[in-house]
Amino acid sequence: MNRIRQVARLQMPAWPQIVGWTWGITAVAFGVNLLSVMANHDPGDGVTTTGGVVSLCGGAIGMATVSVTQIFPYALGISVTRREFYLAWSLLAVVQSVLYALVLCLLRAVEQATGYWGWGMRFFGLPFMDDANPVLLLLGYAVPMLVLTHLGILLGTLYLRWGTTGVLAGLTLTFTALGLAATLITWTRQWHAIGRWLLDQSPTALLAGWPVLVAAAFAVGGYRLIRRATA
Amino acid sequence: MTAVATAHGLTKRFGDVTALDDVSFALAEHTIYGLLGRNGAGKTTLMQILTGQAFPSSGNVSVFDAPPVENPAVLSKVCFVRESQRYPHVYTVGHVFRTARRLFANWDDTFAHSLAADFQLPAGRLVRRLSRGMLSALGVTVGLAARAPLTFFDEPYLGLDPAARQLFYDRLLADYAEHPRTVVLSTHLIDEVSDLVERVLLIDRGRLLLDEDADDLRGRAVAATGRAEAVDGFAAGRTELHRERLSGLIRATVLDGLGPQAKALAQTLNVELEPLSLQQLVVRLTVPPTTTAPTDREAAR
Repeated sequence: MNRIRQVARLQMPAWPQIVGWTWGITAVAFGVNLLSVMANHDPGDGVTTTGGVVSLCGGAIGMATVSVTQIFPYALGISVTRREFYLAWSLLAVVQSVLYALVLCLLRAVEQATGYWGWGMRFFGLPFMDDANPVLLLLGYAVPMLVLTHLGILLGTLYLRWGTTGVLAGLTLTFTALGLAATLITWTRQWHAIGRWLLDQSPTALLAGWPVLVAAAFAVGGYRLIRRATA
Repeated sequence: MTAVATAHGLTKRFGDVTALDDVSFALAEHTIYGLLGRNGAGKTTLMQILTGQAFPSSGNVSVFDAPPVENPAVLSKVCFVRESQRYPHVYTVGHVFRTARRLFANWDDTFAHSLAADFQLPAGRLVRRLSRGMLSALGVTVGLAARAPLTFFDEPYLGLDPAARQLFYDRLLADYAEHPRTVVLSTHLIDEVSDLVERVLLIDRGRLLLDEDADDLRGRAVAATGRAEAVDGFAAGRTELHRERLSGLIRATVLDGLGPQAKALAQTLNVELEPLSLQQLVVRLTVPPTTTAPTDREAAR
């Protein structure tokens, strides 16, 4: 464990950039959203939900990918094993997801306390989380963040194994598979059943349970890819 | 001899290209090796496989009695300084030292900083802003200060000026005397390191050509110069590596031509003998014979 912690510290010099870019992009999205809400504001309107917090997702994916592709060749060069590297980056993903989730909980609280930033703009809160207890709220932010960070790591390992071609081929295959699945569901008229199944799930299962499985699947994939990667 | 690393029938293919072809050898404890060979001979591939960074197509390697791939116990005793090592974009020289200190068990921080001062490495500078020579100096510093029991230097001198290269050789020898270890030095500047290396591994087009003591090799080949018939007489029964014409005389590079008998024969035939340096020997062994001008070769016959 101590060794994994030391390997994880390889990312430390990159933190100002990782945190800066991720939250910088989110801040810009927040500003643009707020201006747009102000421009269209009518005091009779209720609260507008922008969903702009997804901008944080892009940052989380991109930064994870860059950090894997930048630091892995160096780690291998100073006698770190691929396994140690992957475990360290997985650990970083967990720590980062929890920290980001705490910040998001805080921003959501500020959002509610300021009457949605004074202009009725819901940016950080999400409507289906309104009834969540504090623990579920934290998980509801942290677990999806964990999924996205592991997706970023997975894309990074794809790049390490097969370069840009690997990433593009991977994305193409994924979109093809998703498109075919959607077609199949439409063909067999199953959307209604899927909708019902989703409604039957508890908030905990939807926000934390199933996403944890997705994160685990991404982690298994990334781990298998990196074990044969060369710098 | 106590072997720290062994390779048996090691082969590595990249598509149609065979980078390593059935290579077998052992690296002894507390020895400085010169890993020699032309560009593309397979030196870097060999070192990557020995350090678990690349995977062999067939054959096997053992380092400290275990396979090196994904083996933390082995890799903690190994340091590989790559000529083309990539560093993270945001890393400064200081970041490299701090991370190396945390990850190499035998790291000597005082030694690292004294080397950095010798090479005038600026701690605050971003690695990607270093000149080629400075980048090499950084690699050399990490490789020496890590004091790994098995250390590989892959063309560590690239871009280093002669004074800095001498500094590297001096510091390596001094530290090696105090902390004996196995060092593998891949290099093209063979004459410069010929006094430093104790044993030579010569690779050519993926095959291991030589695995011998440097001292034995230095007396191995000789340049015999004289009239054509005289040189023919001297070279008869010996392996001839090369022949060239020099203003009416013939100069032939011949193996095993420095013994007392050979010397006596040369004197009788009026052939002048000149021992070949390690570098000249390596050139003669690895340059295809067709590179000699055909007219010269015709004339030599």
